[in-house]
Amino acid sequence: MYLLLFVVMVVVVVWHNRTRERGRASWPEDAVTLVARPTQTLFARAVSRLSEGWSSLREIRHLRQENQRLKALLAEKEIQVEALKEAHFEVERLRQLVSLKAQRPGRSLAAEVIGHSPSNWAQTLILNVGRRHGVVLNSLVTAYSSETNAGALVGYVYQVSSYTAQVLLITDAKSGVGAMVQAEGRRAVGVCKGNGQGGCTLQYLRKDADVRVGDTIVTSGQGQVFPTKGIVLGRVTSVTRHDYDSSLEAEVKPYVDFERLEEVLVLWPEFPDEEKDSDQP
Amino acid sequence: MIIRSYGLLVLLLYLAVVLQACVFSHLPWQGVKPDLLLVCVIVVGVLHGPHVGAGAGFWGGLLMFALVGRYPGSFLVSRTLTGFLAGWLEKWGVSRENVWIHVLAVSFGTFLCEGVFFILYPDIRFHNWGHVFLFEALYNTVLTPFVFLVFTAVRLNFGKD
Repeated sequence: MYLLLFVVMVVVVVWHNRTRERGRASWPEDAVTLVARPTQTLFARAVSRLSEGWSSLREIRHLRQENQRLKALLAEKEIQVEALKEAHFEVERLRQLVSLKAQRPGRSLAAEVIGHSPSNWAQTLILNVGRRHGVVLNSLVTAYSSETNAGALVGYVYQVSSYTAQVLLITDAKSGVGAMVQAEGRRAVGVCKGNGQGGCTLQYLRKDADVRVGDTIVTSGQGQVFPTKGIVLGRVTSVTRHDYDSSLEAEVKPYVDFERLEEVLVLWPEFPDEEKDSDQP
Repeated sequence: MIIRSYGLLVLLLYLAVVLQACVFSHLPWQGVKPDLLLVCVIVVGVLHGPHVGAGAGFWGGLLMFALVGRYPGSFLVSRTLTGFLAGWLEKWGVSRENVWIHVLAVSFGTFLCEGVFFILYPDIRFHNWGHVFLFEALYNTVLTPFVFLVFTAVRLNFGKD
């Protein structure tokens, strides 16, 4: 039996050597590979699938970890984006302030609004600059108005402490600004008084004055507190004519939204006078 | 203990006025802001009697004047009087611990305080005053339970008032 096996072995080896010289597989090899091929293919595919599955499992674990890391990163980036947005808005506002400053060649100072009047009876703002920063009484306060793309009047400084300044808004019931209509050939002059409710009334206009809804109202430069001419105040929203009255009135909506004001520009008065108090409330 | 309570009261009223100037001024209702400081003064008055109420009102009026920079007399008198009268409720035998008493006191107290302010500062137009008073009273009333909770939680002790 063993002899037979030995003989077969020798025959196979000799055959193999002879066929190898010709570069071809021997017929036993052919037969074995032919039989093994489907099984090999099957096994190879199964192993490949298993390997892929195992890899996927490992990958899922890895993906979960990566997902968590990316989520954390995204949250961090979102915070950064919000901060950048806020910084962008701040830069935009400051750019507008700088443009305001360029429009007004006099001495001026940018200030931040740190508080509003706690009382319903006073329309005031508190700024983060005071006497130590050079702010003086009666300094005009303006802010950028997107409606006019220019500086609009906010009010004036009526009280200065060392590090803060209080601003009387043009909408305060005690505020009165010399104002006029900004229209070619229709320069009606009056006084813009605050109504204490977020608006103003242009009073003491001549009865025959041609004031129209939508007209822009600017400072007239008359009066001690507001000697500067041409600063925009607001837009006329309605005109009231009473037969019994000798003058007419116009309701004015300020260009500045005082509730949302964050930065303002303090303009030094043209004639600074610390002692001047004739227009004080 | 009494000094600590006074110190805490001064601090709480200061916080109230800062909150009012920086936060509630951005939350107007029909253009009207609440008067958190006045709510505090009335609640303190009802809880601790007329003298503490008057003291709180005086300090509150002083703080308001400091931030507004105008009407010192109107603020001081209206707030002190309101604090004192809120404390006077005790003499009528009302329960200091009942939150509804505080709510009622704040509604009437706002009317009284703003009424006194209107008399002392007659430049306000009546219809304007009516609008402000109405919405301020409603706003103050809504805030009262929260203020009441704060002042009962801190347990101020001013001895026998």
